[in-house]
Amino acid sequence: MTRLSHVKPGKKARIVHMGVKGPAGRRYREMGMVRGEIIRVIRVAPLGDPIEIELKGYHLSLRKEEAELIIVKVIG
Amino acid sequence: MSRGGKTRMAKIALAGNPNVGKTVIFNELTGSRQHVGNWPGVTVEKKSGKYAYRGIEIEVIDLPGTYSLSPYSIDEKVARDYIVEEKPDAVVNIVDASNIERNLYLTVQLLEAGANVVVALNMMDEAESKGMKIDIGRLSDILKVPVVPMVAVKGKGIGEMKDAIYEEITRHKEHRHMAIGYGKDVEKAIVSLEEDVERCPTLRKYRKRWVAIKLLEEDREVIGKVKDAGCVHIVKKAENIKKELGKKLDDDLETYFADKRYEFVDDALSIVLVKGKRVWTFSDMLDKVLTHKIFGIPIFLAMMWAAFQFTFAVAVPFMDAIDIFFQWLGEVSIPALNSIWITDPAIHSLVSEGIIGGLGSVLIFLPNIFLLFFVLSLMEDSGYLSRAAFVMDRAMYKIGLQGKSFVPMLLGFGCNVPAIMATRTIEDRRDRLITILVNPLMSCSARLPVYILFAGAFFVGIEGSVIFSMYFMGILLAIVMAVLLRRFLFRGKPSPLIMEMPPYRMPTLKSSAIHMWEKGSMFLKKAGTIIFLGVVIIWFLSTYPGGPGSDIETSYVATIGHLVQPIFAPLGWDWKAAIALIFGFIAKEIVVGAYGTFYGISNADEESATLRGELHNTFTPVSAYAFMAFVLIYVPCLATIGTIKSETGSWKWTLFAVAYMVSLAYMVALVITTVGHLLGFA
Amino acid sequence: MHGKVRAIGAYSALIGIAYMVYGLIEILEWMIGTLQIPLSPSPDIFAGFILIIIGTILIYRIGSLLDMKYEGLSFLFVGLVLSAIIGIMYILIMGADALDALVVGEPWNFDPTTYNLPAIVLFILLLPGWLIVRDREGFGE
Ligand SMILES: Nc1nc2c(ncn2[C@@H]2O[C@H](COP(=O)(O)OP(=O)(O)OP(=O)(O)O)[C@@H](O)[C@H]2O)c(=O)[nH]1
Ligand SMILES: [Mg+2]
Repeated sequence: MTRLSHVKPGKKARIVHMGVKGPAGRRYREMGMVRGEIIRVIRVAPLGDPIEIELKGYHLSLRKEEAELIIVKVIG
Repeated sequence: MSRGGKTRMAKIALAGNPNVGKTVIFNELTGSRQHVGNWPGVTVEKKSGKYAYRGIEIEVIDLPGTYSLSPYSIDEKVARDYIVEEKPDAVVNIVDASNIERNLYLTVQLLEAGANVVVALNMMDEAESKGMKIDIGRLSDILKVPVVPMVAVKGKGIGEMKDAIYEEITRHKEHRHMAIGYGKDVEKAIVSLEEDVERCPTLRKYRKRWVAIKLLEEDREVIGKVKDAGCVHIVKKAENIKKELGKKLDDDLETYFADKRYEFVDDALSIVLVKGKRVWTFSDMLDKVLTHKIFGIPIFLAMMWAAFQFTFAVAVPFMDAIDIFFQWLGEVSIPALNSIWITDPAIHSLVSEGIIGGLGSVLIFLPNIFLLFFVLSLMEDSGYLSRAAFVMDRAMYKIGLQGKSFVPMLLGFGCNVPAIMATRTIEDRRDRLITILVNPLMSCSARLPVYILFAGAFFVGIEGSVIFSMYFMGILLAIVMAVLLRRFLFRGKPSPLIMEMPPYRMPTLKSSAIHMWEKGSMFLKKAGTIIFLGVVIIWFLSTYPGGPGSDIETSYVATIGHLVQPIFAPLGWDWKAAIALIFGFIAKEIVVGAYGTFYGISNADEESATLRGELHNTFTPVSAYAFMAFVLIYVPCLATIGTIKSETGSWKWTLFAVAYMVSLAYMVALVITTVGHLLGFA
Repeated sequence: MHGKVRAIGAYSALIGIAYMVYGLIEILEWMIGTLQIPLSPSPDIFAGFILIIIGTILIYRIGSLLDMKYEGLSFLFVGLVLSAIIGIMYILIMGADALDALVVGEPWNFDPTTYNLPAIVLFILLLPGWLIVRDREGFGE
């Protein structure tokens, strides 16, 4: 298990725990970042942040600061 | 359905996630031309339109996109409030078929809220090209609502949609709500809260199950509503239940509800959806390079440069044509007036100096403005705007803003009014205020005429670079101001970034042309109203009390000008500049219009001189550059001030914005003048 | 398919090199003044910079393209798109100037250095590259 911010681009991972709290956490969940969801890290922005991930067939970008709080299990 | 007179009337709302094609469908249904763009958050306020179908007059409301019925930003609140408070006869829920897994989350919430939903399954073309197959009949069975497949941009499915809407609003309204089971314990809690809600009279208009669930989800707005209804005890009870359930479920309830809804959606989709295998789309291929580590930023800069280049170079022949037209008009207007026995010199002067001279000098810039909006719309429609935000987020974060602030900044190059409204998608109030307050520093199209006029007069050969430096100065000052505002007035960190990245789409010439025309004709309208008025007032003030033919130095405007000119004396500007700037408060184009009028009046009988030559009498390159900078920085126009007021909802911030911009403008102009003189320029 | 990709891919890499060379020349000309070089490149630092970007993108992942990988195809595709945007832009600017001469009623004094001819010519020469993108068969991760 690792943090989403540490997953390399191109890798898939399953969400184990959503550590983002408050309204932002709620919004991530509403956008599909729920436990058990499988996501794929697509890329890191040129300046090193934010990252872009794919889930539920769409692309979402978020900062490493939040990705840090999301615990995932890399599945290949 | 309400019955008004003989025709039957109905109200429907278009709701859905951002960027799913709601506005395209709205335009198709009502024949309107509302703004469409390929980025989330184009529509930020509700728009209404009408169409008639089989004897029913239907009012359609296009809502801002929303990811859920628990609003996160202001535009989403607009959408939510409309749906739950206004209770339209039908809610057309537009679902992006290529993104159905996430889109159905909102559908589930709409159904929970008790809306009369019709699902429009839009973007079927993109779903197909992704290899997705959706069993529409079974989806409709599971959701217990009609589902209409559509490709809105090609007009496919509009007819079927109109039928489905008709069926829905004429249907006898019996309950047919699909309900998600939330498990025994939670259901018990919901039922017990429902009973309390039912006993609270003002809450009757809402579906009680929905209120109960929202209370358990700790939706702040619903809690507020229940409290306002004088039923605080229900809120207390919900809190207690929540605590108990939290222990039992070993999870907090909010997460639990979201999980359950997605579980429902996943179960449904496992029956109706066959996914294709992952293929590389054109969008993936573009992104691979356009957001690349090395190439991302250089490409962005290159695109901005190209946009700029294009806007200026291609406008030239059209500007010349307009110029020739007004010259011709100037030549024929007086004889024409004489021929219809209008010989009053006052009218002659008004027409040739005020209208043709003043308004004409503004209208010349029409082509620039059209092309600028054309380029901006290409960026919007392609989806590149979201990539620019993604690439720049880090840099924006460093100056105390965030990626989402970048979109309003770019839109500000067109016009600050819609740009400031676009900040509604920024959730955090402090982030949003900073973005609003620095937005006017982004050089809008109305300032362009001033730059072109002055750069053309004083910086021959390097006009392009000089004008570019204005844009650059605006950006630089915006950065400095953002840092200062964050440091001293809005302490704290920018809020988390949660931004959907839409796929690239091919911009169509039609949509860009419409966009260009809509925005460009706004400029024309402005020219016909407020600029026209401003120019006529200036003409009047500079012609009287002496009357036509008298020396402008004896006119009202000179008196006023001489009164305020001392303020600008340190900057080396004469009284005409002072007047132009004062009227420029209303709209920047008037600055040019004013000079056009002054020039017309003082050169009424000289053929050879040009407006540019005239400027040389009162400006030096240094004072001209300082003047351009002043025009860049001090308040863009009255409309922008009005928008700042309505979007911040505060006079305090509005006045602050005006005050800081005017003083910043003065300071920068002073620095330019001083440094210019020190360096030995005239 | 592979043969075609190999041939056209190598060809577009050559065009990519030409883009880079001309980009360098334009920057050089901007610094020291116009030189006598075929296609009269514009002495324009920004334009030169853009030509270099396009050229670099075209050759950056050429190996991956010849290996029939999507990554390589992506770079070719973006190179083509940028080349088209810039090429078409200069064609439009040239057209606008010609139109202006017509409007003003003066003969069009054609000054090639203002239209960045290399950008236009290379855009046209690169057109065959679109064939690979159109067919896109046999590509993989
Ligand atoms: N391929 C395809 N594109 C579509 C379709 N419908 C809409 N679009 C495109 O999707 C983008 C978004 O359309 P809008 O109508 O602005 O979306 P919206 O839902 O109003 O978006 P917001 O106002 O931001 O919430 C535009 O670029 C449209 O051209 C469709 O059926 N197929
Ligand atoms: Mg919209």
